[in-house]
Amino acid sequence: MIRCEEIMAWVRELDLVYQSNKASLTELDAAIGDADHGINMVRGFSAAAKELSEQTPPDIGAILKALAMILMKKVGGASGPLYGTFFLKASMTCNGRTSIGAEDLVVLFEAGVAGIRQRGKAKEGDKTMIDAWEPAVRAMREAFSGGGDVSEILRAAVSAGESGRDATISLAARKGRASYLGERSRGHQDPGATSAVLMLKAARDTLA
Amino acid sequence: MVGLVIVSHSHTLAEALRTLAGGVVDGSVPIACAAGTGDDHQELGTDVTEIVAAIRSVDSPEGVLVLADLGSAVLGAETAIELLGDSLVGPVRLAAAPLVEGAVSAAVQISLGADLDTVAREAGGALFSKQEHLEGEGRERDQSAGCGESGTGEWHQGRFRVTTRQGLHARPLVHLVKTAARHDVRGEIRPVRGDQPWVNVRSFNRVVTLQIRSGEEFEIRFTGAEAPEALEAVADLAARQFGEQPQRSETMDSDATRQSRSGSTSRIRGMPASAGLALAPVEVLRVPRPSFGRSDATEGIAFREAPLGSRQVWRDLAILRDSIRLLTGEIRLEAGRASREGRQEIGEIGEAHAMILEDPELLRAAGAIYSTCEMEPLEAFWRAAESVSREYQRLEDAYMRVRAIDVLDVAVRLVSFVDPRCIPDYTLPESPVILAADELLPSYTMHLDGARVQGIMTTGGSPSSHAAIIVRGLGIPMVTAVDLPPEWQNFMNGREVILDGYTGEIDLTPDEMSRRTVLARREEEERRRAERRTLAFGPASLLEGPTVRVEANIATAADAREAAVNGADGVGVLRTEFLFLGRREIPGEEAQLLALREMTAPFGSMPVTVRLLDIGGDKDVVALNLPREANPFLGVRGVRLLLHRGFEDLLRGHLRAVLRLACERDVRIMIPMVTMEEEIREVRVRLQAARDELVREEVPHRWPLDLGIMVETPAAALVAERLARAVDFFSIGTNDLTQFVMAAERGNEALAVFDNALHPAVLTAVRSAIRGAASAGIPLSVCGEIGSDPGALPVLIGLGVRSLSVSPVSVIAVKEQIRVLRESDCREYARDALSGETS
Repeated sequence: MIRCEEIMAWVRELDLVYQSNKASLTELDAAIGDADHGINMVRGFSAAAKELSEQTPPDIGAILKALAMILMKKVGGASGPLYGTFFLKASMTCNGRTSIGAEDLVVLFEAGVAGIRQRGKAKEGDKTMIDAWEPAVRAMREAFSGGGDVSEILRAAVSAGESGRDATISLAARKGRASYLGERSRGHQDPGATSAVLMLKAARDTLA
Repeated sequence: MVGLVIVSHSHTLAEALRTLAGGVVDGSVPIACAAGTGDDHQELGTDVTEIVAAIRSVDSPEGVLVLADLGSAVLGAETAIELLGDSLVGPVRLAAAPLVEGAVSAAVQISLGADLDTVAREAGGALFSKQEHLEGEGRERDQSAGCGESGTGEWHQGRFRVTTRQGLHARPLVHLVKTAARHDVRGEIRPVRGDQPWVNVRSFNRVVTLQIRSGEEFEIRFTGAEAPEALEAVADLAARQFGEQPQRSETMDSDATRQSRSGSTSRIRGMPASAGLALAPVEVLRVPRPSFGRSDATEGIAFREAPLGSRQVWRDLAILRDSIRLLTGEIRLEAGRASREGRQEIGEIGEAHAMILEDPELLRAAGAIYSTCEMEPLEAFWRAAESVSREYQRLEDAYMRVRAIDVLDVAVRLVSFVDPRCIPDYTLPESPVILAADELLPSYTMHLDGARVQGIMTTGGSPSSHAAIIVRGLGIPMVTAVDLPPEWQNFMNGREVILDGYTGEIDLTPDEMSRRTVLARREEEERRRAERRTLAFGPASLLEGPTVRVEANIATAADAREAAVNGADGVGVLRTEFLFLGRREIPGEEAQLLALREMTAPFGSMPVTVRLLDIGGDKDVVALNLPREANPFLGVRGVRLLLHRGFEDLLRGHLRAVLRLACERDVRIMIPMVTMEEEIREVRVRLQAARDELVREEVPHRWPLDLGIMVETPAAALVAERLARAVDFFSIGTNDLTQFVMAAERGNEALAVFDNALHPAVLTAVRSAIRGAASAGIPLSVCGEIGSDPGALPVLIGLGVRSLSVSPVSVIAVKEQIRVLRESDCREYARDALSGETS
């Protein structure tokens, strides 16, 4: 059972996680992007943790929707609309709900990732955050079908996401700023896939 | 009208693009920006919620076109559109167009009234014209974009020569494209040079890339239902120089002019910019370069601790922000006054200067320099202006290029405003000269004295530069773009030359013969001019009736000279604000006396009414550091300010200067914005105190002086009978009286209908003042624009007014009108006007 408290814990955890990974995300982005991913994520989630703690919306859908709007406003880079869309679509699956279960969680992530897919128009193999997200949600559905609980579902997601993230190292970028580098982007881990895995890990540590 | 939204990572980029695209269509298109992130938008990135707000701000039933630069801007725009859902009144579309070309194309199409589909298509196609220009590909492609539905029947074709100096640049092109778009036709255009393809005339970007220059011909053809009408409209447009300033034929082609130069090296040529002849020694004038009292050793770039956008830099730049705001206000005030007095061109130049000065880019550039280099904010501003001016100079468009000097001009004014010590002192010699300069600052030119400056030559500039426009107004002969070798200053200074403002020729070694010819022709010109003025001098009397005094309102030394030569019978209102405007410190008594003395010199022994400092309302003075008021027109202004605590010294020095001036001129003192008798009494007390001081210090002055008031508040008009017993004269200020009686702010266009000095309510107030003055037997005059309004003048006369004060340019016309008016008719007009009849 995931309640508003757990969702808020996730948000606060995301703030801490991105703060402690700010330098490494920015470093990854410096190699193939515009060196602002870490900064952008911190700007977005710090604002979110602060604003949502000051005034916590009444249900999970409302929290996620507010989070989406803050990210769209504050992040600045492409991850703003992408993560913003993730949480916006996710919020629609749990409008008015104050608690959700394992299946709801899978549906929530599936809807969010569908939003990212639609917004970024990227496919697996394009060296984007989608390379972490798609295998992660597939693993979540599988774990749920296999009778897994929230904890098992999220552990599966992290593990699949990590593999996807690591696979981006050898890929050449076809979407986003890194695609300007084309072949030269090979050999670098994608910062978007990296921040996506951090988000999954934070979910595993707070929602389960 | 379709709205346009620009989404960019960079706030600077978006704002600059808005200026560019908006400028092409004279700001007629609603354009909103969403750009940058962080609290002050200075960080690179996009904010989805801002995009949502931007789209909403230009939402209309015709729809909105969104243009985004790249990456997150595109994603953000898509997200914003999705968030908006169907909450908008019109459709919204994100265009796959290059940002800059797309925005300009879209703006043009929107201004033509195109629908969203057309706007989007034209924006999207904007890249083609550039590709085509640079790569020569796809010339056959895309003849369809933007074309009307009309068939391709018979072509109606015409051939026209471009006579605008700058060729078919952006502004005339907009007229051409608009003209074509008004008709149900398909149109194509091509320059007559080599084998050029036809391009769609409604595609602004494609026509721009044809680069049709001045003197070139182009062909245009139309097909469709209204083809003959469209062609006729274009012919008409071409005859009107595409809406540009007409160019006199002799100045049209500078190359031709220069080629025709005579073999003699003693004659040089330029473009004639203002008619007339001059013979005098050359005085070399340089554009003043401010110095900032900094040794060269500290030159170079050292990084400041505080980054741009930090609170520290923001605070440090406060002085610039304030000064820009105040100086812009002053420039607008001058401009407005010039326009109202019929000198539209001066008004427009002032407005242009105000816009240059308040352009946020200039301040931002100054901030960028300030935050990275070791220098004071003022110097950073100057550097920024120099850099902007250089950018203007690099522009292809000759019309815009000559505006480079305007940027320097406003920068010099601002530097002088903040710290006059930075600007080197320069005074013209007393004897007549021909000024020679690379360029003239328009604001400096405005104050040139036609008696001292016989002629002007500039190596730069053009007949369409602002300085030239001003010089024409002053009637000083001028030649621009004079063909002089580098280092010309070295051999030109002090050399006596003949300058011919008709032909653009300058004779460097005039012989006796040509000197005599010039002098004779000048004499002839002077005689003819004098003839026209003779009539103005001397009293103006009504037909078989009494004389009406016509005095002038003056605010500057130039006004005074103009008023004097136009035959003003004196100064009805000397506006003393000029003493205080344009400086950060209050001028001392001596400085005021000197300035007043110089200003009133043309009037000799004629009466001069000095109106005490009338600050407040819309007139702000930096030096006084006045607090902002919610309703300044009804606030601490005029005499209220002079008597306000803290201004004792200001009023004392001001009164002492006027008392001392009275030794040499026939001075009367007038108090502005009086509402209560106590105010008059208090000014008398202060006047007496100032006088006592002068007596003690044995400083020469005159005593007593007549003391009068401006009747410009309804209160003063209503109790005029009582006030009249406390003063020596009345002057009715109809401008303020009208706005107070009608309770409608002047200059508020929405209230223009109330700005009517002939409204029975206003006239009743005027009559009350006239009766008050009559009962106490004191003289009364009327100042304000009403005096020079040909419709209002008979009414005033009919009410019994026998003294007017009008703008210097109006003196001649007002006197002419008075001489044909009959007193009895005027009384009838006045009766009708008072009763509200509009016969």
